[in-house]
Amino acid sequence: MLSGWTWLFQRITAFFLILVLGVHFWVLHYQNPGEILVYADAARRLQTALFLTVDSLLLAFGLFHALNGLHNVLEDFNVRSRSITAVLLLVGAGLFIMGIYSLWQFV
Amino acid sequence: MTLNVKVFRFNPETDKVPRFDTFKIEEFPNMAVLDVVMNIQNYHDPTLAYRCSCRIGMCGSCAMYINGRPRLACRTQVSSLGTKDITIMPLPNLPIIRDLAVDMEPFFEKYKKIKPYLIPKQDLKEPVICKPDSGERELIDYMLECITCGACYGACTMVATDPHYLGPAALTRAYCLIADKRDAATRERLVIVEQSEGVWRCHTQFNCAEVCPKKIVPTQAIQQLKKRCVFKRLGLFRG
Repeated sequence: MLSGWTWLFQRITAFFLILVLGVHFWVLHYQNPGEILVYADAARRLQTALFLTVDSLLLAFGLFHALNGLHNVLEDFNVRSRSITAVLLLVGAGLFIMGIYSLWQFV
Repeated sequence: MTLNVKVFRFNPETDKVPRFDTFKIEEFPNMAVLDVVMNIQNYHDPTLAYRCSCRIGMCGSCAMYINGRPRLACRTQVSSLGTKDITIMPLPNLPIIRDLAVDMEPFFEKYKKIKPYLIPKQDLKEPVICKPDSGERELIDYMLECITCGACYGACTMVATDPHYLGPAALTRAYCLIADKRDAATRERLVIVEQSEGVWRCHTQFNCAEVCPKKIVPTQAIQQLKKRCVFKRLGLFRG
């Protein structure tokens, strides 16, 4: 029975998503407002430990929050099955690995 | 003044689909919606089925869906509706027995699941002392006013989508017992309410609080239960 933990993590990830998304938006749109977004700058940023950490956390928190939210919606409609939970876990793990692999290309 | 009253009619044994019957009823001063229903049964259609008992808002029998929201028919003044057009339907989220009478069995089945009675601690040598100014019964005392009318259950959208959800009334009763320091079964009850069909289905929409004739806020009880469930998970719950 994981409901207590998932409920708690849903709130914790919501709080951190607001923080991390705030950092993300600030860096992309407000840090250098006159600057034109170019691939080379984005690649350079992603070579720093700070941005790798921020983007990895954004990926992990976003995935957990979204997929657990979807799981909650299904449960709200009385759709409960271990196979659905397993599929959502697999989708989450797959997308996380894909995201980390993409980030790793810039290191 | 004449009231235009639309009443839901359905007999599952004989009718294929429900219908609405319309009645013209003369309004009198301080008329309650229950008076309207009784007037229809006494003078217009004796076959109308509904449930009522005390007529003073204590028994919780006459909860109906009146002009778009669950209310106690005996405590709803016609003048408070602000219109002469009244639509009366049975309480939502419960099976219809006939017309305005619903089967409360699913509601009370869920109520029973949380063991809605005090299980006293056996190991106490002295009586439990609850000082009036301690505040520990502040929420419990007003939540004990619940008359199990089912209005909150009828208003809850989560009960509508998930028929296994325990619902606001049962969870409020569970909170009253879990927060009571004389009770010996707090952990046992927490295990029941922390199931998937328990407190986690509440999304704090406050529909239950909006319609409660006793002004109870079940959402508050459910949030308190969620807090205790998380504390239990973290090993911080002392019950």
